[in-house]
Amino acid sequence: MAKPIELETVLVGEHARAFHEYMESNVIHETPESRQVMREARELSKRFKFL
Amino acid sequence: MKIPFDDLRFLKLDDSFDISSFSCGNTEIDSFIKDDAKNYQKDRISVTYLCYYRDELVGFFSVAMGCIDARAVEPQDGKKGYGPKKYPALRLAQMATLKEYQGHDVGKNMLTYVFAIGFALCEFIGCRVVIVDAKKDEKTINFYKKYGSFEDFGPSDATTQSLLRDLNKIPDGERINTELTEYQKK
Repeated sequence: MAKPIELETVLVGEHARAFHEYMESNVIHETPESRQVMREARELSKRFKFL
Repeated sequence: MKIPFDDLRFLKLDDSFDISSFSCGNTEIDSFIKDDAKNYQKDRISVTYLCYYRDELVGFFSVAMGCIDARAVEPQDGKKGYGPKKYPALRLAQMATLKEYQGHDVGKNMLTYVFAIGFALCEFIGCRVVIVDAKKDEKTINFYKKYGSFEDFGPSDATTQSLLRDLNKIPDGERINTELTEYQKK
């Protein structure tokens, strides 16, 4: 049986600190491959309709 | 052989699809798609998308809304403190490629679709990060880091490593437009 889907992730202590620092940071680590994936994803997202 | 994105079709799972023969080589993930995915979808916990290439099911992924609840951190050892903060997240709950099609960019293309859902959610309801609990093996983790620039975060256990990608970390000039496109307005 597969592990149940956990919807919430609670971070405390050093895990919380690392997360806060990551979210606050303006540094962008992008590989050439991920940059391409992101670019294509943004274009594709414009074709989605929710309403 | 690399399969281009446009050669794949993405369809939302429903009762009409036969997924009984799908195998990615991991029994836990195979069990999810065969036994759990439809129930999660009926309960509106997650939605599963099937990926087809030339009428063959070659992969799937399941996504759900999630939340990261980062608790307050006291200043310590010269490091600053932080207040508690919650972020809405798109959780990639499962993703797998048919064994015979692994290494042909199916996973990369499915990840592109996942991020596209994330960027669309950013516009419509708010979504800051994509998170995934990746299988703890080098190949899987390197895949997410290479194609999604995911970072390790949170606790890991014996079998999984939590990975995170901030959708706001986009190079200048490539940020998504916050206005609805003409297509979306129609």
